Amino acid sequence: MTNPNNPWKYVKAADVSRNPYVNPPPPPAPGMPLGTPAGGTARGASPSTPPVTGSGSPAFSGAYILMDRTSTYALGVHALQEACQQEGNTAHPHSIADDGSRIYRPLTFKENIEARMKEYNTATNADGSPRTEEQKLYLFSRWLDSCMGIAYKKKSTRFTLISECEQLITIASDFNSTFMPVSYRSIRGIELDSSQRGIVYNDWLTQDHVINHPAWKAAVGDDALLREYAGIVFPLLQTKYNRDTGMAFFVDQNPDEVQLRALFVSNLDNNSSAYGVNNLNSSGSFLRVAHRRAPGGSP
Amino acid sequence: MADTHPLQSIVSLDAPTYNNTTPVVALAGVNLTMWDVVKVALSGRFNLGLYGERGMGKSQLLADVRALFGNNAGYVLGRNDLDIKALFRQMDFGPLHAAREHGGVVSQAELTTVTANIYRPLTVVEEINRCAEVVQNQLLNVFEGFIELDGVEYALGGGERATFRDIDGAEWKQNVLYSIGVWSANYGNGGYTGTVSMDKAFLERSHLILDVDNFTPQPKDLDHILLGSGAEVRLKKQEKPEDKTKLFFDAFTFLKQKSYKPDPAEFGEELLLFRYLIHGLDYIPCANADNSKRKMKAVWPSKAEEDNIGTSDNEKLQYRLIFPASVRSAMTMMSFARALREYTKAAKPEASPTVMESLIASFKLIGAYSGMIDNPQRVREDFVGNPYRAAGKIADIIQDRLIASQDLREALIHYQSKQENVPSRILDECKADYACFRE
Repeated sequence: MTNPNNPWKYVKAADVSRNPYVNPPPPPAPGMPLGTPAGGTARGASPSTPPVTGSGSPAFSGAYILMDRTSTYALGVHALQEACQQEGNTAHPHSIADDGSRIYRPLTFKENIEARMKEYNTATNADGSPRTEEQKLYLFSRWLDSCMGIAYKKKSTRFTLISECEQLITIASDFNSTFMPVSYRSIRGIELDSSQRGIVYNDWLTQDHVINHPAWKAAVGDDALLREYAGIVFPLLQTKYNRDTGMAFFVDQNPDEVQLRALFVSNLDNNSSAYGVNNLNSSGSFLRVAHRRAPGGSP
Repeated sequence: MADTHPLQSIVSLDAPTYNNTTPVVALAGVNLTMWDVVKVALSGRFNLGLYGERGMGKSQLLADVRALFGNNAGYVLGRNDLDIKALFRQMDFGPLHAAREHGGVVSQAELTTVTANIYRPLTVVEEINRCAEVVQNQLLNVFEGFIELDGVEYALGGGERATFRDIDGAEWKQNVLYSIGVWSANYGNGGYTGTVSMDKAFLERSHLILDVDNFTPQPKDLDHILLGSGAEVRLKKQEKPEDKTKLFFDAFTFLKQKSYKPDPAEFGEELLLFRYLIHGLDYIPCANADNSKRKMKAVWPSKAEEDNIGTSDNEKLQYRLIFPASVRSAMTMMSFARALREYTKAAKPEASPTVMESLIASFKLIGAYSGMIDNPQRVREDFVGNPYRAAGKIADIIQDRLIASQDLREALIHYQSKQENVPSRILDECKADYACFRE
């Protein structure tokens, strides 16, 4: 038996995509007052975002802005909504509330996947310069929260995916609990069972497993998109980390009570997995579709 | 088909007679009863002590434990003329007879042979505190797994050669021995005469001590106990119990393998929490003692009390009530936590008990009598003299401290596992009781 000099090399670290020590929020830009809303003007700009012009909004359609991380999911939703309202964003999707008013919503799980695909497949920047690998992978560098809800049935392995979850879209800004208590019966969505024979949850998957995985298929809702996305992720995992598995689908099982949480896709360092187990009060990271500015620079 | 967990067959072993569904500890939503915790101890080869009021089921529990080993146990009742070696030694007058026939000398050792008792996997000592501490000391070696007779050490219990893999995947074979000691002691409240205190060295070797008074049977258990009594109020011994020693031997071998090659996803947390028990709990803001309770020597905890060290109530308790774990105690708690996790996973395959919650559960069970709760006056004043209640409160405080440092620990594990330098802004956060995480 050997006594290893460095036992740490045998350690497998947990997902740190939301760890504030590993991914600290960026400091305020010079001249920006502390407490500037997340996503507001320059602070929300990402390396992949084209140079800001005029009032600070990106000047072309199709780009995404990785919003500043927030300390809770709810604060992230509200920062996103405020930023969209301030710029009168016409590109970012919205939902219609009961009273007929529009409410900006976080991107769905599928839209986040699409965003990564689009950014990855964009060969040049707005100024025509070729994009580096790092720029193409920018949206893979952090987890992306979505408005897709995942509701867990009490003391069961059954769960339901809700693509545009009203409770999450209208979440109160001061919501600070780990999950939302809901009535499971009232939830409408795609119901699955994480104890389904032959289907692996909470562990790494092969590419074939992913494209046939019922939860991944339901979450993305587009088999061709899922196939294409897995076709990008797995070669990257192989090249960067010498891994042939990834994209796990993490769910809670047999919770003591009905729970509603949000589903997000993790960064590439964490194998681009789907996480439905994280706490709503741990942190938020959202993507905003850049505001489409009218020619001439008016908002 | 999923593989069966090696401890699953142990989980399904019911107690022949003992009936108590009171949860002793809960892990990942799975409640473990006294019988479960006893089986966890037996699986991990932890010596076990049962302490409490008379007539509350300790002896029945011991009888049921003996039944698990097919009643194949050495048994002694605590008394001051106890000669533990007599259990394992018998006289052989053959050499003496030969010397008388042919002449020569015979040493005392030549007249002694060991009895078959040394092969028994279990030694049961009832009412141990009826014998004086010096007599209890005879049991130290037995509880360590061997007996010394005339200068020769004999390993106790059965052995089997098993193959293990180390963390690098290298294979080797090792002889695994399984023997265990269990005892009971009546709480010396005057109800019995002749009970004495327990020897500290002996308590240290009793890895898990359960105070059964904290876990009295539920009302519905009492219904079953009354209904199942069969008009018999004496101890119910199993006449021909099935010997399950092999199951426990295999479970211990499995846990041994887990120790040689820990789960990589748990290992980083285990490394840090092991440090916390030994060094983190040693921290006290007292510059003259290098912020170390150990270095305060005999003035701890009195100085912590006198100087009112700490700001919040919880901090004060952390500084004055709990002494840091010795390496041996910490090893026991970590190993027992691992056994608890594995038992829980075997009981409920979908459960995912974390290292932290299992360690907190382990601390609650072991900490009370481990010598770490070392401020009797405070225990008496704040916790009605009940070390379990004190350990429970300290466990909650430790849990709060560990939850508060969860992100910090995960970040450290992240960098350490990649063998990268930890950023100084993270190292700077490793202070006070978290300083042990930084190296």
